[in-house]
Amino acid sequence: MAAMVSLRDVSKVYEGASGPVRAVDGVSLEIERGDVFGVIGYSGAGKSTLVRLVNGLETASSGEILVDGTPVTGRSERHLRDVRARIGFIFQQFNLFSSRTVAANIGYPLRVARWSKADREKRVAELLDFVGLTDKARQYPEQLSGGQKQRVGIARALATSPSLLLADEATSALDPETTRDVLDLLRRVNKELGVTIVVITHEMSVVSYLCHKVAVMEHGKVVESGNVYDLFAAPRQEVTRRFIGTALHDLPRPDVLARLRARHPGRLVTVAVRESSAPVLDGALRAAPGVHATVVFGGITEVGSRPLGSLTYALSGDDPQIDALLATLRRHAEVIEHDPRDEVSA
Amino acid sequence: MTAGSNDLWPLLWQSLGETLYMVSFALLFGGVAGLLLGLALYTTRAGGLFAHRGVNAVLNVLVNIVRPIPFIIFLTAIQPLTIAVSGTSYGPRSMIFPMSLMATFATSRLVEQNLVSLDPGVVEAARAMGAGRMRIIATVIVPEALGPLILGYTFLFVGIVDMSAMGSAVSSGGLGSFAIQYGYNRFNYVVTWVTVAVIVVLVQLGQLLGNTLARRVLRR
Repeated sequence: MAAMVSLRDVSKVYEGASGPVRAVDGVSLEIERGDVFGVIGYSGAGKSTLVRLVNGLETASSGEILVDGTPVTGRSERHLRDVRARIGFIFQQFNLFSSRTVAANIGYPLRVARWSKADREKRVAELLDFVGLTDKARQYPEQLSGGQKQRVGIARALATSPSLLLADEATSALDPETTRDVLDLLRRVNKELGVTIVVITHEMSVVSYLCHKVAVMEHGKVVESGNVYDLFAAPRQEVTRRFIGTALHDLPRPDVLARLRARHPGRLVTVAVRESSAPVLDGALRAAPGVHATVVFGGITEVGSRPLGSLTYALSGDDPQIDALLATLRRHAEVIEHDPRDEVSA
Repeated sequence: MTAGSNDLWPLLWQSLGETLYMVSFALLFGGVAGLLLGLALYTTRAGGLFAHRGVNAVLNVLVNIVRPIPFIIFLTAIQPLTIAVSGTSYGPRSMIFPMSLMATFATSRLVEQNLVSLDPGVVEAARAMGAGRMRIIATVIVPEALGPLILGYTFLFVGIVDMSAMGSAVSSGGLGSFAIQYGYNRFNYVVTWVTVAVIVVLVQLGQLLGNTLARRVLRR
């Protein structure tokens, strides 16, 4: 079966004040049907432009884009309207029509699609129920909270039952708790309605909570992509590592290490916790003769519903016994020993 | 209020009627044409729905040339055209064409300025739903900016009342001519002041109506 979205060597060049700007630079991606696909990058990395190329709000300078097997590139405005009508889009700033009620906002795309009044009313009622805002139907957007506005945005984007939903920084204007609600709603959209979702974000926590696959963008290029868990477990690019650091906070920074060393006399080691290593770590540590291990730093979280993180231990005991323990641990997990003097570890 | 043995009240009411006639038609024609021209200015801007640098530049120059011309001069300058269009060079009817034309240019800038402050996100949202450009103009751009537009048109109404008074230069009739002819020319300040009072009441009523409508549209 063809991919839901397929990008082949897609570029978008703008004429900037100081010469051409390559906002998107030779991107190739395949987004499978039913996936929740994250695109993460710092602002200016080209991710918002990329997602606007997919539904034809922006026109690619070169390359080929297929949505559900239909080419988007090289189409007339009239044809692009049909493409767009079959793709839902939600925005960071919600972009609700302030002159229309909640119900009329959700009904707008149905008007565009020439649904009858009776059909529109029925569908709007279903959508209001799905996003839990039935009691807000007659209210205007300014009467809603940020989270409620985004729920309306999602309902409006889903009105014509699209098989693809594009979310451009959909939670970036929301507080953490509301963010979680909206992400849960998007999960339901994916699981219950089977909608493929492309999530544009600069927050790795959004990716780890929601996405199955992720592409990391920098300077208009996709620098790394793959399964979310694998990418978190073994990032290859520096930018990816920085993003993961913002989501996990599990690795001690140098200043944290210095304080840990002042507090704990033993040897400091950080052990990576993965789905495969998690069950064996405790046993190995407890069974080690003559070694006392104390957890002093770290964190384990769920990425794609699987455990991931790292723990830093202070180990006290005789050196040969500690070395034996480390050898055992290294068979199951990545282990880093933090040494007070760099020349010793070298 | 008298001048010699004549009672001027009937003449004042007749003049008010003429002013209302001139103002309402100019507001209607100039308002509609100005909305269209303003939409053209807005949508042909860079990044607009019909972005077109050439068309936008031509429209801008056109508006900038006409708008600064003092209306009393504009009125006399286009008189041949006015005669061709309305078949007469004097009386209230002769004022409707030049007033509508000037109002069109004034309105276009007002409309453009109100639309520029519109959040481009709502237009993008409508585009993302597959709405056509004309539909977006009619169902998103105009409704979303309706409150400020009504206030803009209220402001325009005051300007059009002002324009109608310039007609005294071409014997148009209306309150302006009345005040000049029976007040100023006859050294009768009472006539002028009463006329001013009538115009003030007229403008206040217009402003009140505009404010009320705008408040209802903006729901505050």
